[in-house]
Amino acid sequence: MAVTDQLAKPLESTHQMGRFTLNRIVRQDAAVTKPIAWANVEAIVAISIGEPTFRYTYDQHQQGAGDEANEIKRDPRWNGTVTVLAGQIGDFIAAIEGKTWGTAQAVMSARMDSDNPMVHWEAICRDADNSTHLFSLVIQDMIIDSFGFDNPMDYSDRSIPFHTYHEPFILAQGYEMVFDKFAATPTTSTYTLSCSTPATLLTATEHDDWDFNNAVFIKNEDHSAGDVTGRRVRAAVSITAASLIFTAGLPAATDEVSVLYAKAT
Amino acid sequence: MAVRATEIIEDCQRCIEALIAKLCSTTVPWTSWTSTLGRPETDRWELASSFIYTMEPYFVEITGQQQGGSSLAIYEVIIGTWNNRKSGGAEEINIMTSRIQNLFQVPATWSTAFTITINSVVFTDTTLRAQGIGILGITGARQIETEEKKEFRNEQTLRFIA
Repeated sequence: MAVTDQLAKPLESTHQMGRFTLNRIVRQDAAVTKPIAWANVEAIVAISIGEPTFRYTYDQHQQGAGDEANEIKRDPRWNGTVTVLAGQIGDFIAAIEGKTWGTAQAVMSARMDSDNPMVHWEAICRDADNSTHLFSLVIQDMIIDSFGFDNPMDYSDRSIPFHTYHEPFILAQGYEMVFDKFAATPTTSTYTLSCSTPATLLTATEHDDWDFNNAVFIKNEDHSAGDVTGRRVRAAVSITAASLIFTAGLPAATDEVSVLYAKAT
Repeated sequence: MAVRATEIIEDCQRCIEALIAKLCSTTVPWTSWTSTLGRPETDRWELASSFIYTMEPYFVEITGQQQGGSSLAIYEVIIGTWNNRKSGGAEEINIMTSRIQNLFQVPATWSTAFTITINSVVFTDTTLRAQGIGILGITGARQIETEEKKEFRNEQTLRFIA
């Protein structure tokens, strides 16, 4: 590399545009199966996610270290919006909530009281052939926030707010997300994933809020305690090839175990 | 990516024409038409069918600038459809124009594979994207006046990035 280097022009694909993106979701409380099928989300205009905010930030000093401070940040939250064609808001919320809007349920409410994770979102950014994968934006544990309605004169879309407490990330070309869910069996320590070669995602020890190199999360839903969205299991569990292995705290009879990970497409 | 920065007008015109020519040689109803690079060399009455001509692209503006080197640019090119009374008529020109419009509105169709030689290198079953041409959109048809009342001619402007 020299200070006189001239860079070649970017590839056309560096102009990646949302219009070639396929958006799809899986619901956290989906029925047990592996893998859970992703559902395409239609009528999406845009997705926007801001930088995180932290509930707690403070500078940590210690005596004998001079003025050197260590900034501590805890409890991040990412706020964002999904912009939907206005006429599809009902269908959109129905998809997020796993409902059939119409005969079975005539009302779709814009009031969201729960702070439980609703869906995991995969925005598959593709090249201008609408096929070649470039990368994916993944939003884990998405929670839709309450929103309002309007009815403008002309063509319109609507921004629906959401938030997540776990970081959105981008997934490399050639990979796709997999969501498996198991009905726990007492005393069983090993469960078999639907994919035998989970991708290495990152080095978890170098990254806050990641517990595994090859999984985004492993959750256990304790249905006996009324928990239907799951809590993250952060230790005494690992993934080796297709095996999800618990070494302590084995899931109980009515529990459901869920795993979000990636595989090569 | 094959289109050359120093020959970009020529290479892009030939790639876009090659895509249309591929359709005209393989896919109904395109097979009813002829694709020409620029306007046809021969008198239009001598052509056996209606034809689609791809003119020379022209530079519009720089886009996607990056620091420290070259940038991409936006180009436009006129694509014309000409019904020379060999068949069809008003319905024929409408179908031709619609097909051109649809071709460049749907990613799956503008990604139709074609074969082209650029700078003595043969690219077999390549695509516009693979050659570094990104489709941005196409205008509706402008009616072009013709000498004969029963002759029909339209032009559309294709906008692309390369």
